[in-house]
Amino acid sequence: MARTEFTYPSGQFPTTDKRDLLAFCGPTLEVDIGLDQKYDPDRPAVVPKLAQQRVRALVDTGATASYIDSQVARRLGLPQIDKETVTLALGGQQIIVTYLAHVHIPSLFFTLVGPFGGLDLRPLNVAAVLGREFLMDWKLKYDGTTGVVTLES
Amino acid sequence: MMASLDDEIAAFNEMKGALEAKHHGEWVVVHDLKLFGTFQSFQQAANRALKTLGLGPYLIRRIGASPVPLPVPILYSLPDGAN
Repeated sequence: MARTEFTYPSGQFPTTDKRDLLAFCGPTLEVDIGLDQKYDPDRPAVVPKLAQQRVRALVDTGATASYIDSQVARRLGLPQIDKETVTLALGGQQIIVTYLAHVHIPSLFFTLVGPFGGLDLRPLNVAAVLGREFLMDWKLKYDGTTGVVTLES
Repeated sequence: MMASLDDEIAAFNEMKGALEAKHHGEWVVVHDLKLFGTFQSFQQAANRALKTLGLGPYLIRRIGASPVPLPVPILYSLPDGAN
């Protein structure tokens, strides 16, 4: 069974209290991002070699799909595999470019091969957002009273 | 000249009706304005595309799927004038 406890970025907020940090940051994980053309999902024990190491991803139960920061995607040269006009939840529309990427979660020894919509995620201080499609394979336990969030298979 | 992603999307739209009739819910790869293949999962489509076509350009899309609305928390971070 794979299991990890979420961690929080240090030094960004004037508190070390886990409950406050969870409320401020949301549940985030350290991930590696890139695209390894030699990676074989049928051999998941072999970790892909990804250019962007140890950045934060927010696990967001409010998101259906998963997203990657557009600047990170462009810098890594991730291939654009789709482009669609998306309806915004609060109204209006936006064109979203979809990138093909590998997101590896070292603490779970798990690699997600996915379509990732490109968004400006810098204001959230994360490089990726992992939505409910990602969570379909995991059990998420969120305890706001202690600030402890775990993810397990 | 190599087709762009916009060209691949236009080619997909041309074949969309036929694909939805036979492969609804599957994933399609369109490359060089032609149907490269249909697949049961995104992972299968992406792996085959990466191994055979490299970094593209190519389109990978789920047949018959509507674009997914953006979640509200992400909307809060959209830059002014983005929508």
